[in-house]
Amino acid sequence: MESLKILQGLLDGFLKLAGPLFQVARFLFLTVWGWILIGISIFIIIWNNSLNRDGQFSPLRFFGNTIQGLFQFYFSIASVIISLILLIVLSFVYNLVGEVSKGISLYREVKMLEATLKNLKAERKIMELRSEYVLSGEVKMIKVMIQYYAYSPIQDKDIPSGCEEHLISGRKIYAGFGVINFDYSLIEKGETKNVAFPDRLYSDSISYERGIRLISGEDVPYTFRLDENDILLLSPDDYKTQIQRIMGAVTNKSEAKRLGVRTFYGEAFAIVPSGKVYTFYSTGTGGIVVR
Amino acid sequence: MNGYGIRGNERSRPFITNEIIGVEVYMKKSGSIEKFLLVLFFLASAAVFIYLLNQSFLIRKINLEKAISYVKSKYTFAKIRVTSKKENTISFVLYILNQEGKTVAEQDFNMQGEEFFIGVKVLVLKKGDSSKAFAFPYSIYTDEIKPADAINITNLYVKSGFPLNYYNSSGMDRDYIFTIKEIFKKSFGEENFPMIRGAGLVIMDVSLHQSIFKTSTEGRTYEAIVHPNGSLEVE
Repeated sequence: MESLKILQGLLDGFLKLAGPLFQVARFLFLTVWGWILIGISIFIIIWNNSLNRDGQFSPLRFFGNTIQGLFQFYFSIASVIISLILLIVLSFVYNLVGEVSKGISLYREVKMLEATLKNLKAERKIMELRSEYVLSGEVKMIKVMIQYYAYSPIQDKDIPSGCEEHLISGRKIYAGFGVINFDYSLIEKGETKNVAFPDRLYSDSISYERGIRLISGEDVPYTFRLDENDILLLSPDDYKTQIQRIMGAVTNKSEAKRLGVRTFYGEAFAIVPSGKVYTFYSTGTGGIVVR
Repeated sequence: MNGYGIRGNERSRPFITNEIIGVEVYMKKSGSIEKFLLVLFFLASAAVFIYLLNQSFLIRKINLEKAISYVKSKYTFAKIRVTSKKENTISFVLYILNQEGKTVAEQDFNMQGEEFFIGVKVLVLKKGDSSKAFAFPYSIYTDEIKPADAINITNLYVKSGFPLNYYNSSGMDRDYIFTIKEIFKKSFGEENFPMIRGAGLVIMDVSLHQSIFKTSTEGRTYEAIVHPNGSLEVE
């Protein structure tokens, strides 16, 4: 892409430099108005040469000069034709260079849009959840098994970062997430990814407030928890600080704006225990999808 | 030849000058015409090739722009205006919007708790790379009220089995009404229906609420949005 950018720069430079010259030449020799202008110019020259020493117009001189001019034009008609053909060819080449430059520009735009679409469609695996009914003593409960995932910049993929098991009463569970969506411009450029982190587990018979907390405000949530080897450039302490800064930014309007946070909210997925595994993904456009 | 370079004895070619003949002879001898025509042919081929290439890039660009615009498209299906928050009670107005952004139903709520929760059934129909999501808000509860005790709100905007949030003044033909009715019915097939994650059909039961760190603010209006892939957002 960088070499194409350089090539396009060179072509554009050529077009910019040769452009005005070609515009003038094309106007003069390849348009009716250009030829009319040339004709007027020649007429003025002949008229000027037709003035006698006293500065008065001499029809005889005018006639002579006109005939002479016509003959000169006639003798050099081959050169004129060849020059015109060359001008047409060069003009064609000039247009061709312009088209090549336009093509490179379009190609680069297409590549950029492809990357934009890819970034918008990119998903991050956050969590896998499996739930089933179990008997705890004589009470029917829901057993929830959670596998968390965190994005490793080193491996460029989502890797398991921890697991938990919970028991909760009810007929269906709600897997709650906190979602941080960043401005589209940042997502499109691939400068950041939307974030979602498991937040709360509750059920139809246990309110959100009384539900099981899946993150602690002080610590790094599982969904960001990485081994030292999977952290890029930062030390584990710096990484932890960065994550806590992002989490903290959502409560601070100016910091959120600085980081490009578009929306911050919560969503919870209702799941009827069936023993099936549900996988949750944060999306590039915002929000969570489940598969 | 006279003084003007015209061959007086060549009456059949009176307008051909020495110069032209000279150029013709030179070009024929050196094969320049062939070379020149070859160059012209090459340039013309290059022009056609570049034109076709540019056209294909242009079509690809238009398609990508459409795809990006589609992926970023969204539909606000509900709004919540928080009117007051005091003494562990939240009061808010719920507005259900149709596809034209007009309010088709609204109701005031006064509930115990700090945060509103809006239960939504989302149905996604997929075909190839494209998908269409339908969102049906069905319940209202709070952080302190368990979902089993939620207030059902479908009666607010469903008339004769048709959910008015998919009312479309320009496209309300019988097929459209039937399809939306069926989609709505499918979403509420049974009370405890399992989540469906098929290749062409996804049904999810999602509750939306304001941030876990930053609670909703009195006087502010929040928009509930659905994206074509079925993901939800609160703005």
